[in-house]
Amino acid sequence: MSDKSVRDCEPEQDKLLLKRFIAGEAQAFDSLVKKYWSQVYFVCLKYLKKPECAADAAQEAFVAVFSSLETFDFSRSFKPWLLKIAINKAIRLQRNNRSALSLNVEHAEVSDASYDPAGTFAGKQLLDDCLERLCLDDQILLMLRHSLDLSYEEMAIVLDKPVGSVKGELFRTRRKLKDALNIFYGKEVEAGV
Amino acid sequence: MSDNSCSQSGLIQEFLDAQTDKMLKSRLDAHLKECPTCRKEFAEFESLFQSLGKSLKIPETCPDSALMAKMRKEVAAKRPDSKDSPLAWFERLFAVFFRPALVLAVVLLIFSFVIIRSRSTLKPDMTTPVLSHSSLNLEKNEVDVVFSLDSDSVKVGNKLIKVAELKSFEAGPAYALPESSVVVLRSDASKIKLTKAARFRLARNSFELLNGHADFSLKGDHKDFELKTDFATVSVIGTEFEAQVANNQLSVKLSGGKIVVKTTNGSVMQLDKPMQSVVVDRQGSFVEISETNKNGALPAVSGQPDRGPADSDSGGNLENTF
Repeated sequence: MSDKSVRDCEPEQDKLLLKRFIAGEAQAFDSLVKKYWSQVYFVCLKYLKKPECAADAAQEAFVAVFSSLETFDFSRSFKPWLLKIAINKAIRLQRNNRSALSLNVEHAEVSDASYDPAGTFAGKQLLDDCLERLCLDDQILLMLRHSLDLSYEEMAIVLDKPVGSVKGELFRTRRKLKDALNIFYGKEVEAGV
Repeated sequence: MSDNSCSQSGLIQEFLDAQTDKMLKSRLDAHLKECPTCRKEFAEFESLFQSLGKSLKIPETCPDSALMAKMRKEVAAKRPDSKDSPLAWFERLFAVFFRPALVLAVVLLIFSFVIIRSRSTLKPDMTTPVLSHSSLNLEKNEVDVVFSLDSDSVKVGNKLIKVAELKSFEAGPAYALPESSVVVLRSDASKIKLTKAARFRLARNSFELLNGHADFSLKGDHKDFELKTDFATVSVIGTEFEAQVANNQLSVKLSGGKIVVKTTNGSVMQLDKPMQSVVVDRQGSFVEISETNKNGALPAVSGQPDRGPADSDSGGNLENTF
């Protein structure tokens, strides 16, 4: 997780760059694209699976956002708005492609899990497998929180849901993930739950 | 699947999401001291959060220069204030100026069309007297109905009344006036006296007596004016006469001047001698023709004038009941 003070400054820095772009400074566009390209690209990749499709969706999102800055509410943060538009673009492309598949961890069988007697979640391969078996919505929730460092409020904006719902879904997803990992490590049996 | 039944278990994930919240930390610390289940869960979630942080960390990437250039170009083309594209500049000009101007022009066109239409319906035919004003004075027991060639206003007594005021009068369906109400036609000297039971309808240049008794005293040129009834039409040329509609008959008595009575079946009779009178029945036949009448009364029409319900008004006409 990044430092909170840095995170608090980000929205103001973004708005400054946006105002400079509106004033005609092309360099501000480059700065913002470079700053958020990775986040936008990987969110799109989560939906679309194919790198070239993700790049297309990310490109469309940036063009859409910078073409319609007149509709941007400067009292709000830029990042959630950008990610919301990116996700919408990705979902639209995903509908066209129909290539994305999702599995639910509750119904998945993990055959290559190795028991970790230390009782930690350090087994990265196992965690990655479990994450891949989560449904897409759960994966996006975790990504927004742990990869993109969004607050509950920002996640609510991106996903267009109430903050309480987002928070509840996030908590349930992480608990589901923890329980799945516990099963694979046999901790559930040890605890006698 | 495990299920932490502790009511405070939600604090763990909330705290791990925002570790700088001191209030939350103190609450959680206090709870963890007392709750072994949550202590164990805290350790598990803490480990999970660390693992998720590592596992979900996204690598830093950048679009290549070609992609950046493409995006710059697309944004420049779509930006409303783009200076690169003359077409975009024109579109903006259209959006800012021409589109509202177009809408305004259409609205003005429709508005002027409506105004012209309404004026053309109000503007009188210059050769035909039209009903331009009617007024009702209950204190004087008078109703004035004025025909005029003036399209803008009409003089009633010493008062100049705008034609537009007619609109307010048109809404009134019926008026109950005492006997001897006066209807003024074209000039103050031309009058029609109506009995209380008289019902009439005013068209553009005619007076339609539906029921009751009316005395006409018309001076000046009234060649375009007609008295209409269900049975006959009386054309008037500077004259005085009485008319009464009752019991499906029209009685007309001439006092002076000249009138022509044309019935619905095509019979025509001219009255040009004072005290001449005729009675016309429903079929349009002259049932009684009298040269003189000593007591000056109208030829006998049995019974009082009918007071039946008003006929349905035809468009643009005005119907009153007395």
